Amino acid sequence: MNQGPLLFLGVLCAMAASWMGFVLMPQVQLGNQSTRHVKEIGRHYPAERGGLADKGHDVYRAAGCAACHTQQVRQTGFNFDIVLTDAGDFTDLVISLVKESNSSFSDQQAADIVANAPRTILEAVNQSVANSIVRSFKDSGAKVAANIRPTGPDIDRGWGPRQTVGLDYLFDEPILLGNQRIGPDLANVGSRLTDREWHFLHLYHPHTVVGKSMMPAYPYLFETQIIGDDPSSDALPLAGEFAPEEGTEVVPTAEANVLVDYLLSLRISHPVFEAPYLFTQAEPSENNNSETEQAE
Amino acid sequence: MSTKPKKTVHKKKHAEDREPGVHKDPVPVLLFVITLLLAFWGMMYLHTNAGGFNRYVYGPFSSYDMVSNVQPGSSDDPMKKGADIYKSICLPCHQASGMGAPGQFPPLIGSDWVNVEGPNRMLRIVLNGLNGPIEVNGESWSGAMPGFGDLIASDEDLAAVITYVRNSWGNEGSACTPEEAAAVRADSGDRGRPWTGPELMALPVEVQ
Repeated sequence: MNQGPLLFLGVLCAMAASWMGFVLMPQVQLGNQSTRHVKEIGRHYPAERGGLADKGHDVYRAAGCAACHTQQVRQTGFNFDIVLTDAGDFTDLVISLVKESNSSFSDQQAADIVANAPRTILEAVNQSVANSIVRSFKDSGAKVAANIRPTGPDIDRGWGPRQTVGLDYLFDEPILLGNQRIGPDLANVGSRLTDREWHFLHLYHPHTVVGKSMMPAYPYLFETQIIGDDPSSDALPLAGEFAPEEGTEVVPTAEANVLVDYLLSLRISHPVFEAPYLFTQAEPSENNNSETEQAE
Repeated sequence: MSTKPKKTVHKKKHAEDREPGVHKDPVPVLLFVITLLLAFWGMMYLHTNAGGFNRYVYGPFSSYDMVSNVQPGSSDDPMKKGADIYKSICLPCHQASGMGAPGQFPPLIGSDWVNVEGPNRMLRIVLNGLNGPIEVNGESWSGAMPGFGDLIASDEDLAAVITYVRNSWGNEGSACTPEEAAAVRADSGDRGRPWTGPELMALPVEVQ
């Protein structure tokens, strides 16, 4: 050890380099983000969670949900759908261009598409093909749009319409990304499963709603009480082997309520700049309902 | 034969006595070459896969331009898109009529900041904000407008809202193109503080 300072300097450099790579650079890159207007939903995103849903975040954390569920949807690629949005005035030219873009069309099919625009011409093509088709229509007077579509195993499973990005976690403290997928991903669970009662039953005992579920039951989030004058309106509709004793009912505790509030607040059901896709309002009424419920 | 064990003992003793230390032995050149090659490979990897360390770029995209180019609905009418953005960001202060609020927020309608040949100054105000006294149509105003460069992340959206303001309520300005918006955003990228009236007046009205 006659080179102490040199060793110290070497260790310092190694530590400083990794600190810069793992802490400083991500902070410079992703820190200091703010909510942003998303035109597809006409409001700023993300919105801060209501008080109850925020408490639910703590219950989610305490119950160890993050040990088996992730909250990150991954996207491995993207492709394009080509849509003829406006056929323009030069019908014959456009029909021949449509046939050129997709050789599987017959004359009649191509004519139908042009007559009934907007119609999809091609699905799931890569970017260079999409660009060349859009270019081929450039001077025809017709308008075509290449709509991006995220792809990847997570998206095929229906776990979300797009990948999750840093912005989605702006109000999460701590961020519960999770690293094991023993259960499905929950980043978009509020859009996929919108029924409160389903969530209560599922938490009380997963087998009441999902026969082969390997999730543990969380009975301590519920109370079994003796039915008073009237049955509680919150009582779970349990039957068969899960039914409580005669004269008693199972009601969710405050913890179960806030946990379900939190689960329903997990949504990535619209595009953001970082993860674009064509937004078609697939489930507007359901989303609006649950949003107003939370606001109340 | 009888001297052999003696020798070993002697050698061992010598080895134990020696003080361990770092010596200046030559490092093989090959090690340097391998290290440099690894560092080069690492940098090339970051160059192609890190998206320029831009916060808006996530895999599978590899650059900001790539994400920007695949935004859906890019053939949308900028006036329509601009109106949406105006409603959510500009309207609270400048009002739906573009009249602003007397004594607080200057008007956009008929303003000599809006009805000029190019959108250079407008773009900069929207991107970084404006602080301190300015003159609008001969009237002086003093206030503070925050920048919205982060909020309006795409250059197309930025161009749309500028185009909307320049062509609404009887204003007659040229449309702002996404390329102009991108150029000004790149030019004022790391400014990080609001503009002042005199600073903007020193700049040309058209995007260079």
